[in-house]
Amino acid sequence: MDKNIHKLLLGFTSIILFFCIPAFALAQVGFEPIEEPLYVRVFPEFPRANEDFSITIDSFSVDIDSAEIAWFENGILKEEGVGNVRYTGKTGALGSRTVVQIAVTARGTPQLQEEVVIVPGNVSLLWEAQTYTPPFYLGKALPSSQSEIKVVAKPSLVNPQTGAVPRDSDLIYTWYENDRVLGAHSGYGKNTITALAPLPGGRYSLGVKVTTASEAVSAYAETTILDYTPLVRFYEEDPLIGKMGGKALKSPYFVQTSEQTIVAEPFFFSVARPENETLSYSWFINDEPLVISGGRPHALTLAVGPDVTGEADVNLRIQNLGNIFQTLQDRITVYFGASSL
Amino acid sequence: MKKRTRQILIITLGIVAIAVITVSGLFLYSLFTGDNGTPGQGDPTGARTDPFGGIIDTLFGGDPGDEEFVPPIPVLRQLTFEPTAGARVITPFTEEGGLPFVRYVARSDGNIYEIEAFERDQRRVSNTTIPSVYEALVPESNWMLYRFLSETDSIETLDATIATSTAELEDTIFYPENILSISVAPEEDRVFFLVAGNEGSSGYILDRESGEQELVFESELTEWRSEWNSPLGILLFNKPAEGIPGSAFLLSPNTGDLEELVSGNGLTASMSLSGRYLLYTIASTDSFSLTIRDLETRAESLMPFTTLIEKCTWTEFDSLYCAIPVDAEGGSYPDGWYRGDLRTSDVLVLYLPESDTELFVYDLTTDGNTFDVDQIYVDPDELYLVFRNKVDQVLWGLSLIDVL
Repeated sequence: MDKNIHKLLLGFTSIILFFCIPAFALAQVGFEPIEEPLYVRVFPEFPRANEDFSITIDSFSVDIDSAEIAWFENGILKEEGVGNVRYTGKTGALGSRTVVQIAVTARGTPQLQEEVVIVPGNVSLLWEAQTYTPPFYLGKALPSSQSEIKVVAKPSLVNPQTGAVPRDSDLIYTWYENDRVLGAHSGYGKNTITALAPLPGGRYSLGVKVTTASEAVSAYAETTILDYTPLVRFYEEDPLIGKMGGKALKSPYFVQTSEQTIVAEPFFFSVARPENETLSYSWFINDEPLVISGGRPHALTLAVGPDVTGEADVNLRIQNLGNIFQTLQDRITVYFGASSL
Repeated sequence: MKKRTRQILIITLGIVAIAVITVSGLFLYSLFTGDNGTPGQGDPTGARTDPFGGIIDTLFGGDPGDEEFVPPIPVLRQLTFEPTAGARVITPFTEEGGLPFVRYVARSDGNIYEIEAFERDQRRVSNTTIPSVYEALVPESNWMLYRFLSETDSIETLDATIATSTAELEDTIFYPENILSISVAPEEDRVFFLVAGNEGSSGYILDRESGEQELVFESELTEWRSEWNSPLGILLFNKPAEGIPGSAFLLSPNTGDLEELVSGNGLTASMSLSGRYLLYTIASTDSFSLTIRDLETRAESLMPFTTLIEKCTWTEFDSLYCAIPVDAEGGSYPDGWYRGDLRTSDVLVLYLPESDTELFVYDLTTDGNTFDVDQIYVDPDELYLVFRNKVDQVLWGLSLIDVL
């Protein structure tokens, strides 16, 4: 009998303690228990380090516009005022933790409270197209229609609890293509995805969410990839100096020497080298087809006799035989024996 | 007029005519061969010389006593006739100090030349022929990195030491083929290079003394550019194109740790020699900006001018010499400029980040000139500035002590 009474008392005490401890904990920071929910929205959803963020609140249970609203950041009162439903702040460095507490006091209702914890995380979506650019070119290879693209997520995350940088293999990557989850490409350590550039006029949207297994920190990034039209640029080439890549030739182009080689560079075609057999070069001089012999179909040598003057319309059509969308034509007017028109 | 008098007059006129023809011939010979006739100076083959010095000296005998006939060296002068692959303004490391000289590599044959910044002297310090050098990295010490194409169009990189006793290169070492990007450590004892592999690229640091190399970077991507200006580490950024996102990272050469510094569309970046400042450009389809960030305070501000990263160089004191366009063709920067589609016409300025001050240095557009600067170098004492005109890759020198 005594044992049963003791058990009953112990049970009552436990229940009372269970409800009281959170109340004490909250009382320590001066807040009343939350009785009604606040609707909180953080923008951006996944803030980066040292980035501005905003928090807006709403409520269906109180007249929020007439309520007294106080905003605390890491325990310090930052703002308060009637109807002050929006707060802006700035995230800290990677590994930091910004705690924003919101207290809403409306007439005739208990105080509403909410807490938002912001842990910044960075991820960059970097990509490169598998298209041709000349050696020593300082710019990016751009994607042309249906060219292959490799996209890599490069996260910068620091766990705020441990201060450790998570290993790439410990991160969960969730890829989105036009807002649809790419399940087969998502998972632990899956930081790379390959895709095809869109068809002409199209766009390809890709997003990635990176999070630690404990979800202690997350980051999100998205990018849109367009297709670019391949380009051809003509450059002078000297047997000793090589190609003068700093100056693309423009019409009218004046040839001052008896022999001049012009190299056509097929930017952004889906080939590794301009001599690739899948690229077909069709040269025309004054609309007459010209056959280029030898292993450099993209190089044209113009030779003129002494004291010869005149002009020639040099026309080049390049076609990728492996990709019907990669075709272009360009021309340049060449003047011999004159330095200006 | 008596017959004898007429004969004497004809003979005299003949001698004068022969003398005029001879001098004119010598002048034209000098002009076209570039032979300055000064022993021990210039190209022994006469193939190249100082375009403002040698000719005048030859015409008037090159006698130091004939100083009245030697015009002063222009503040801005053309240093080469032919395209160059790379250059550097070097201050001699001697107890007495010394005035800077310019060391450059000729694109056509890879020969190395040196020109005194404030004199007419030019000397060839290497006659080892390396044709069609596309890029040369010129450290201050006596070695060189040549970059050129092989017969199969793969990129070759050659490390060579300039012999002090002979005019030849020695200790030549070929690096792996198709190096994507390469940069020299500030102490010039190590080289960072990036090579492509099946799954992306790998970055190595080569210790030139020991020959040991260490893998410090791996990436799924290959299109990286590198810069090793600062002891803090190697700056890596994605090859840029207007409107396309890229990021810049700082790679620690000791730990291999990678820290993202900045990201943005069409991003290019450069770090100051101390590592305190980061200069970067953002290129969107409708805007182009140049920003400087103090990496110590994290404060950043838009620069008072806009230009491309390649048109700027840092000094030992973290200030910047930049060529800024006063006229630029419209189009996609920076990639349209890299392709040679777009050209600019520049003036030179000096920027002091500490005080956010811009100082005008020199108007390169005077006398109807147009310079589209793509490489720029200055000596540690900021006495002399050298730049390359992108269109013809010819090297020009500017005496800073005359303009600042």
